[in-house]
Amino acid sequence: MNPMPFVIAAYAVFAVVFVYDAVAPWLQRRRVLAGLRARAAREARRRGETGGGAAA
Amino acid sequence: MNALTLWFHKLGSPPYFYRFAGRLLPWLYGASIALAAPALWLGLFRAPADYLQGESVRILYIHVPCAWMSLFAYLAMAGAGFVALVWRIKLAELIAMAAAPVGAAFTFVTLVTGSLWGRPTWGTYWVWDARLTSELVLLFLYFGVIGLYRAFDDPRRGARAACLLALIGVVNLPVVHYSVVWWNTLHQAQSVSLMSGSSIHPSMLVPLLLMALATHVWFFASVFARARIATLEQEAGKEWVRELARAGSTA
Repeated sequence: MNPMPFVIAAYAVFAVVFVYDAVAPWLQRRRVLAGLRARAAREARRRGETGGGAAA
Repeated sequence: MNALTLWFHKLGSPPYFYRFAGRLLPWLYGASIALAAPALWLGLFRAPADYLQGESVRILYIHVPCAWMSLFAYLAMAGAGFVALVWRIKLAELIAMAAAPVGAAFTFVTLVTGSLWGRPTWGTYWVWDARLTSELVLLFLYFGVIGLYRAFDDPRRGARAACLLALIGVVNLPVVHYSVVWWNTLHQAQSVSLMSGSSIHPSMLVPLLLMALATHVWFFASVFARARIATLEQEAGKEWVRELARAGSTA
């Protein structure tokens, strides 16, 4: 049995898993920061609508 | 209080940890790639084929370091979990929970590459051998920890429950490690040992150890990257996080 397809498949799985492992936190961090920015913008808009948030 | 203790206390502060880990990350990822590149080159192109296994031995240059890491990551997760449960340190909870998916990734790669090595060597992808089965149990333990953490609305309660499960699961680690000694398994006994040296040739040992070092450094990089995000999520209402979001900082 030619082992080369198994060697290639093993290294491909290794590469895919660890590329994903590196990229996933980076993407998640971008998503979290975008969510926080959107939340800050919503809060600022709400404060503007209620007259500057004097009661806050 | 000496400088190291002071620094350790400072590390427990979320904004300090976020910045510290952010500065460390490029160096850790860089070092890991710098170690993995020669390991891959030596393992794939320079190391000789094994007299019994032939070319399929090349799979072991990734399989064995990942298998070691699957145990190391679990030990690190359980250790951080113990600190989190005993001293209630928030950062330890985050580190423990960040280690779980990384450990699961290493365990998954171990099982898949082992299976791909087994087909040309043993003639089968899988046997219910003690080593293989206990490694599969380890993967399920990682999934259990991740699932339990996410099952709670309150992430801190979820983390504490998951840390407890991680601690209970430690009993599986000696089973995985000593399975080839305790039972008569198809899986071979270990060829590299910290205590009794190695029975393999240096041309094969060097790429193996280089890759082991690379995967250790990668583990810390990946855990820090994930713990940073968890810090951001948990501290979402705090002023330093708002400032960071407002600035759109990449720090």
